[in-house]
Amino acid sequence: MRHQFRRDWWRLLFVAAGAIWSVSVIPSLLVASHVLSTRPYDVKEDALVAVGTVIALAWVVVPLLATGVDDSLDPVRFAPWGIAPRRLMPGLIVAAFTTVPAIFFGMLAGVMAATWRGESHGGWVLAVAFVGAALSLATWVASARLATLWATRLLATRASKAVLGGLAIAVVALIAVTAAAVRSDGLESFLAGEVATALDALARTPWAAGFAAPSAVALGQPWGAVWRLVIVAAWFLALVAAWRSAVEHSLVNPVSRGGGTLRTQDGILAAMERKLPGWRATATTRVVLARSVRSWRIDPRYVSQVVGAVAMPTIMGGIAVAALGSRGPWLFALPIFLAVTIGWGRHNDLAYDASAVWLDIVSDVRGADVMRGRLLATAGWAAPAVVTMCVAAAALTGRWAVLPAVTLAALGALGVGLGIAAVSSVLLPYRVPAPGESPFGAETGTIGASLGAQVASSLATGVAVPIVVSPLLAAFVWGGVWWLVAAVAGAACGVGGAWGGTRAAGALYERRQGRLIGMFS
Amino acid sequence: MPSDATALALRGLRKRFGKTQAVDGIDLDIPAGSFYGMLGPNGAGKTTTLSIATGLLTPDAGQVFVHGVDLWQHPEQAKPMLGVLPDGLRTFDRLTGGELISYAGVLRGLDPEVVRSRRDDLLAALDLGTAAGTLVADFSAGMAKKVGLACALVHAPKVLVLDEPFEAVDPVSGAAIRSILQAFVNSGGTVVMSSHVMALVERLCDRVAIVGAGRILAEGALNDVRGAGDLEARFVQLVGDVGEQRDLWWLRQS
Repeated sequence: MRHQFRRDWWRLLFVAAGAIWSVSVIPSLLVASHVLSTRPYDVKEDALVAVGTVIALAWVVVPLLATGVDDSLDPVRFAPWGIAPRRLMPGLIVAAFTTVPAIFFGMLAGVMAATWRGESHGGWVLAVAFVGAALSLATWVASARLATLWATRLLATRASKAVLGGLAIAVVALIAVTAAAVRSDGLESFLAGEVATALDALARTPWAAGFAAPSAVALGQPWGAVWRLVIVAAWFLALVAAWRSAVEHSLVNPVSRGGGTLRTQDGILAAMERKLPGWRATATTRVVLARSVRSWRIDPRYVSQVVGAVAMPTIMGGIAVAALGSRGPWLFALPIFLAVTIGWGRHNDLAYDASAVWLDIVSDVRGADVMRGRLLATAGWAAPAVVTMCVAAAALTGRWAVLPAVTLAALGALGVGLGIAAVSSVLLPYRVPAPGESPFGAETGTIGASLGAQVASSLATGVAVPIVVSPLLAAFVWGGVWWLVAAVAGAACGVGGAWGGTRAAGALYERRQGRLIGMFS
Repeated sequence: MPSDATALALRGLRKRFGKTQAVDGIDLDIPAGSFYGMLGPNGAGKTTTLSIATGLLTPDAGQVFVHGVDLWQHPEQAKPMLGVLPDGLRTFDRLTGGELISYAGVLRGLDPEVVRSRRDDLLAALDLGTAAGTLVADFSAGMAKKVGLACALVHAPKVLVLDEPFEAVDPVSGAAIRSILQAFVNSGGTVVMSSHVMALVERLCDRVAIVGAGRILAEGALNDVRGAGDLEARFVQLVGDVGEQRDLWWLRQS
């Protein structure tokens, strides 16, 4: 880490900014902790168990869905040196616990533990609370490392799509069941019934028992605290053992790069010979599209991004439906959000495709043709996902009449977002994990560059997307002709944004050809 | 401007990376129909020079002419004449070997039927038949090199620029590649290749350039450059021997 900071001062800046932000939110956490500390012990326990469970889940899910944020040490980097896992693990553990998120959540866990001050048996309660919080923090960090290692292995297998599909169905089913329960019983009844029961059960599991243990001491049941701490400690040891096993496996089994796939058909020539009515793409666009579709289907770096791009808005929407109900027009914001998320997520698209760039350059292809092929491949899965969410929103609200305008506006936001991303990816590329590397890792030395690219594409998206969706907002407020305006504006902006974006990106691509390869390597 | 008889002309090429002057004023004329070897120690600037010569890297200064056409001013005329095999750059690896050749052929503007025919010819000639349906991701280093060479050849260029074309290639395939390249030169094509293997360069090339510290140290017909001795001796004489021949006594097994 010291060597990284010496080489990449940007990285130190980023870490410092993260540390300052983390410290700045501590006062509000302390206030929340103070307020909670004055409540009865059972309220404290429920609140801390709920927060602890959400954090535990976030430590597993966020590194998987938001690819490129995991800047911990990838054990595969040590494979050539033949270091035994026994010697490697202490270093990996120390590195995992000294990241900015681990330090921040360490402080948060401490604040959560301090909430137990003022209870009877005060000294013992606080001691147990801090031990429980420390053990919980240890399980969060270990589970995140294990999750990314296992997910990397899974994504390299043919079974990945079946497993991901199963997980998606399970998440959607859970959201649907929750939403149905909230709708039928009301939010208060749901919180008092199902949620209270779930919290009670979670307090007995390793995910939250560390935060429930002090409650047992406060009730004068020391053994209740002991067994809760023991199961959290056992869970941590089990996670470390699994982590070590996963490290051991990854050191001698590099991620399978192609899975030994054999293909009899030439997909490139098939794309050239495909006849579709009205399809007049250039040869370059056709083959780049075919090549990029292959990436989206079988490259773990791309597959993980599809999962992240679709899962994040879906989960957040599901939680919002569960909390706010499923009748409000705000549901139609979800497909717009999904479209913007997907578009913005492609802001470094070209870097993921870096291995194809040199062949483009030596072949002197038109940049716009390459960009269009790449954009169409993304649109091939993104547009159906956006339309599906529009239909789901219309079905939940029963407002089928607004579906055409909402769909066109959402597709418009997608087109504009992808157009902006095409330009951003040529203008501000930064290094990403190469093919065959862990799709969840962040490339060392790119933090400053990625921050710049993300801020720039966020600003551009923040300016452009409101122009596309404001007529839709007007339609929901005033109705009438605004529905037609929203539909036309969505279609026009979507096509215009995608076409203009790829054209501008293509011109930049041609102009920057002699510099691009150096930016990826 | 160089004449059409000069396949590749480099004029005053310069390229700096931070504090390192990778290419420091290279001037070179490579005649059409020659088998040209570019030699140099690690870090001499060979790959940087060849990257600039093929449009992969913008020079800080200088010009590149392919059969008299300015590469950086008229890439649409110059690049179709070049076939390129870079070294150290990852190749897109989610296509099969056959598909990658087809992809390169289509990018070069060939009709699908021509691509299909040449793809099959190249797969057979380079002994890549079994790799035709295998993803490039699963290729060995030597197979990846061979399929890269096939991509460079598919559009029948006038000039082949090959960076370390024989690296990691097995002897049987190496012989096949040598035969293909010799036939190409005999038919009027030009091959420019970099290599560290002196014996190979002496066997194949009729002209050589020795590059050191980003400059041309010697250039000309093979016999003129190597003089009375062999090429390796001349190379060491020009670029210098290892600074200190320290005795690694601790490596001895007995």
